[in-house]
Amino acid sequence: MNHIPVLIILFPLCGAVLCPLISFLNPAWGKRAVVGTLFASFALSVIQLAGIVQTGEPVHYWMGGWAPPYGIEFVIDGVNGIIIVLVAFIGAFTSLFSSPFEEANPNHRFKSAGYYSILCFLVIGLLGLSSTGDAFNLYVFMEIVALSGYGLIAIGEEKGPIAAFRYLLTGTIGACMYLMGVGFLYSATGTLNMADLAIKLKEIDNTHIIILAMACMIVGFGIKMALFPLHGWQPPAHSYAHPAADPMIAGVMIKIPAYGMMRFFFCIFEETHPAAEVVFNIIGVMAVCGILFGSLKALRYDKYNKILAYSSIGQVGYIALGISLGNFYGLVGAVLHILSHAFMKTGLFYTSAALKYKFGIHYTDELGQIYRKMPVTGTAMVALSLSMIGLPPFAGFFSKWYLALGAIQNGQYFYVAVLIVSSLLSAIYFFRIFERLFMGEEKQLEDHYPAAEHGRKEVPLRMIIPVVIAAVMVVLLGLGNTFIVNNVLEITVMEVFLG
Amino acid sequence: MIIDSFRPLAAIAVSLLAAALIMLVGNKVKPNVREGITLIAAVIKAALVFSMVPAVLAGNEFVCRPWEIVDGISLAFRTDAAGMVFACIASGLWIVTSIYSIGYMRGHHEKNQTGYFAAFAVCLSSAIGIAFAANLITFFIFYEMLTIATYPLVAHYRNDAAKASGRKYLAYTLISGQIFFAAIVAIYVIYGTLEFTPGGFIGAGSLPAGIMLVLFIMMIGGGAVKAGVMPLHGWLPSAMVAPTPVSALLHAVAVVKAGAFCVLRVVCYVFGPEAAGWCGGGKLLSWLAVCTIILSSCIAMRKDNLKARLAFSTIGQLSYIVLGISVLAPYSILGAAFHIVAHAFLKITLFMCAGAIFVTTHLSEISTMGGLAKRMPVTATCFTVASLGIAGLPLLAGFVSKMNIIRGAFLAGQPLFVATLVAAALLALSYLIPVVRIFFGKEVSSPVLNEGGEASKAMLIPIIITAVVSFILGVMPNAALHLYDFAAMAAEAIAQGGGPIA
Amino acid sequence: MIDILQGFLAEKGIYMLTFILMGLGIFGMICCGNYMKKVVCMNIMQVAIIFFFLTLGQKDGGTLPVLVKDIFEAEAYINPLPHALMLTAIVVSLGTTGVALALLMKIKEIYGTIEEEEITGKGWKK
Repeated sequence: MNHIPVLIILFPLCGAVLCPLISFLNPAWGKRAVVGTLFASFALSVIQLAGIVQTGEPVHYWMGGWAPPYGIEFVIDGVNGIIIVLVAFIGAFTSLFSSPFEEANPNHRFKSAGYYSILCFLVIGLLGLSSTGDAFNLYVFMEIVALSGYGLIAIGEEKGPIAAFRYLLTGTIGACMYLMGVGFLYSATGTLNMADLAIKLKEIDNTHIIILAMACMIVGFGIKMALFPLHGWQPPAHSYAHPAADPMIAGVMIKIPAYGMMRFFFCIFEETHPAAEVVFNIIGVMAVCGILFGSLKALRYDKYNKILAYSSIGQVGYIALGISLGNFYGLVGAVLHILSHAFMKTGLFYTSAALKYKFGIHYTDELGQIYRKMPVTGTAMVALSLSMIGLPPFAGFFSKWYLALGAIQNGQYFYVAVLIVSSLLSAIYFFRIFERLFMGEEKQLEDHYPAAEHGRKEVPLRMIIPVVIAAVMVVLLGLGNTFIVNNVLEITVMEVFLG
Repeated sequence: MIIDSFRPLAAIAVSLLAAALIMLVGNKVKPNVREGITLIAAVIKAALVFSMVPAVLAGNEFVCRPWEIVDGISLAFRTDAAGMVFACIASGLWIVTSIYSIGYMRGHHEKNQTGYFAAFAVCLSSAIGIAFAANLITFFIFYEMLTIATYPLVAHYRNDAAKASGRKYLAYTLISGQIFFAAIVAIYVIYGTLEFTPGGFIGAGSLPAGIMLVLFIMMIGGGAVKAGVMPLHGWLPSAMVAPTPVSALLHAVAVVKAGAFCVLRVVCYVFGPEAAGWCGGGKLLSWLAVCTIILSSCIAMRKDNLKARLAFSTIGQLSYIVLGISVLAPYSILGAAFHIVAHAFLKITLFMCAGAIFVTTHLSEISTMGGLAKRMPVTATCFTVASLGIAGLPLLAGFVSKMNIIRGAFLAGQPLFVATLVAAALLALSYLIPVVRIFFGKEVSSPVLNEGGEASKAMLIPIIITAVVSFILGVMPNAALHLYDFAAMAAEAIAQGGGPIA
Repeated sequence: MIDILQGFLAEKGIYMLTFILMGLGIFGMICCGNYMKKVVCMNIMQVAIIFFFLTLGQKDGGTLPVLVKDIFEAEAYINPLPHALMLTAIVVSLGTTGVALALLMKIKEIYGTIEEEEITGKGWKK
């Protein structure tokens, strides 16, 4: 049996558990355990995806050899195969990115070990969340993600604990709602395996229970992915989290539940179910409100992280919009936007963290002429922001293209108008940042990482590499989107989601 | 015949690479090296474009489809006749402008020159991309790249005025660009193709006329904004705060011409004359153009700032092209395509003269320039030649294009448009000839004009070159690059409505 | 009438009670001003979910899902799966509560209070 699916999770799990132990002896090796295992898991995920693309068949892994529907099953098809690669990739680079922050930590022997271990658990949770084929197992992974998320948010800035506490309350409601939905499905079918659920639900004529389950799922996943109007926890959480972990939290943590939602509504519930149309319309309305709300709200803030956080509410709306369209191009757009937005937001939060690290910058009006002092970060910021606006040839444009295509195929022209308005609104706040970056007055800022001492104008190399990679990936993902669409998404979306 | 070749892509990539190189090394090396990179890239680019001229003239097309850019549509480049016209002038004038900007930027001690030269190179890349794009999505990608690359040029001085005009520029271009995007998606869903086809791929009557008109307006908006058709021209005069070589680029080579070219592609290669006429879009556009020509000429007369007067003259002249296209007659399309060339040479001469005057004498208002010819005889002469050309006097490039537009309008039975065009030529005379009269007047209005000489050679030589070329094109429109033939080929292909050559 | 009521209560009454319990929990989480009370309400909500699952597994005449001497047929036992699931859920809720309490200690350390109003008064909104 091919053990790669479980090894992808087991490696970082070992790293996460061993990191505090090793750190007792040698803190540097504790960190290396985490970084090393995450990179190993990234390598494995690439191998796994290559295998799936080659055979065209999804991989099924039975935990402990127990056959489904009794045992827990991991199912990895093209779509989540690529999402696993994404999570492992960003997780690995974020752990690398964190090390300068943690070295600056005075009590780093114990605290850093905790930090790396929690970050690693976050990645594990996200990996499990995207690979599992069992509804209850998904809940467990969701809570692993949430618990490590609370930790990473709490050890951030001064307001971190309150942001984390609020997220904890809201997140627990979300998880409970999800569990409730699973309970309804279990009571109707007596199974928890997703594939089995899909088969058994077809035979059930009790629509009420399915509608109840769907409602619970929307609330559950909606809270986890910060879909309007369930987004309240997200802006403080994203703005006050640990700066180095923020890329992971803001870039990836809210996207994977979106994938979970997609899976529930297309693989388990039938998209032809009479209730499905209403549900999709509700998601569509939430998405549209979220897109407009997020973009408008982002205009109001001067704090860089706040702008990015509200813009995430809008961007998650894009993904939900793709789900609500429910046709091929809509789903392709949604999956591509999960990928491209993950790189864009992660990259932007990398730049935000780099700015904090070097100059302690939190507000955009301190950005004046920063591009002279940090040329690489500045250039990456421009590329990533242009992608966020949705301008070609960056990735954001292409996911928007598929979403618009799906919307027009469905005859929902209103959605296209919303996409355009949101692009223009985000152009306003991102170009305002550019104006400050290039034309603002230079501020006197204390340099925490002076070039004279380190022989380098920019932040340490371990921080530049992730920034550059995010920016390059945004371009590559944009120009090479058909490679993913044709080789990976086309088959999977057609067969698994719409088949 | 179709030739598979990477030459179109190479022509685009050259200046992108140059931009990247300038950004990387710009601040570390001497200005000479940086500008050397620009010049070398400009020459290579022009050589690549010109090397395709003979083959295209013989009826061949270079086609390049590197990879699929979105599901089902390839990134595609094709050197058809209309694209060659635009590509030739853009790449040819890039050499001239870059020599000129070296003189200007040094003479004027500008800051942020690295970013300036890099953005300039990206602009040219996008212009060639726009010229060679074979389908709407490729076209749109480069069109938006042009929008973004021009922004730093417009906001070059980084002061409040520059910020304001940058914002205005973005507001106009981004909004129209996004609407253009929505129209592209709609057209793809309805017609299943985005390939530019001479004569258009949208059949008259394939959609209800109202809906087709809406689509037409959505698409034309993108072009009309960049081409400065009223009421969408607001950004153009305020972009005047940019340095003069940028204005020259904006107003003569890349941006506004890209707008005019976009109108040409949309009207003649997407909708086609038939559908554009049937849905009423052609009529709407031509009336807008007529109003723009008259109004802008009237406004130009009242501007004392030389660059502002030239800017309004640009708005008017661009609408000539738009009018020529929207008359939908073969000759007028020929004239419009050739006016892209003629106006490029004439207007760039005028702007470069304005820049040379500004750098050497620091004068920008026309009323202070009395007697300029005494100090700068060559500049003043070139300015005169170009002014007469803009007005459309025989023996100069403007005449050839305007004559053809008028001929087309006449044959199409549109005497009103003929009258407008003739009136506009007189108006152009009335706002440019007074400038010339002031230049050659006896009375010297500023003390700086009594001493000193011409501008530096780096600025003077490009001015002379463009002035001479606009004269040569007036006498022999087919000289060297056969641009007139290309325009004629394009008009013929559109009139015959051949299928997509792909 | 009473029959219908009795039947309803027998069939669905327990579910109604768990939903009421859950509603109470969520209501409390939203309305309580004290963070400690919020945590307590969160636990009430989680317990309601656990009840919900456990009642799903119940049936008349079933015994504990532990193998008893002499009873070999499956019908005699109640469904063990929800119990197993809820063991996990209890662990998760324990973890969540633990994190919540740790956060409360930290908040108390920083702000000196765990009353929402007093904390928001201290410039949280900025």
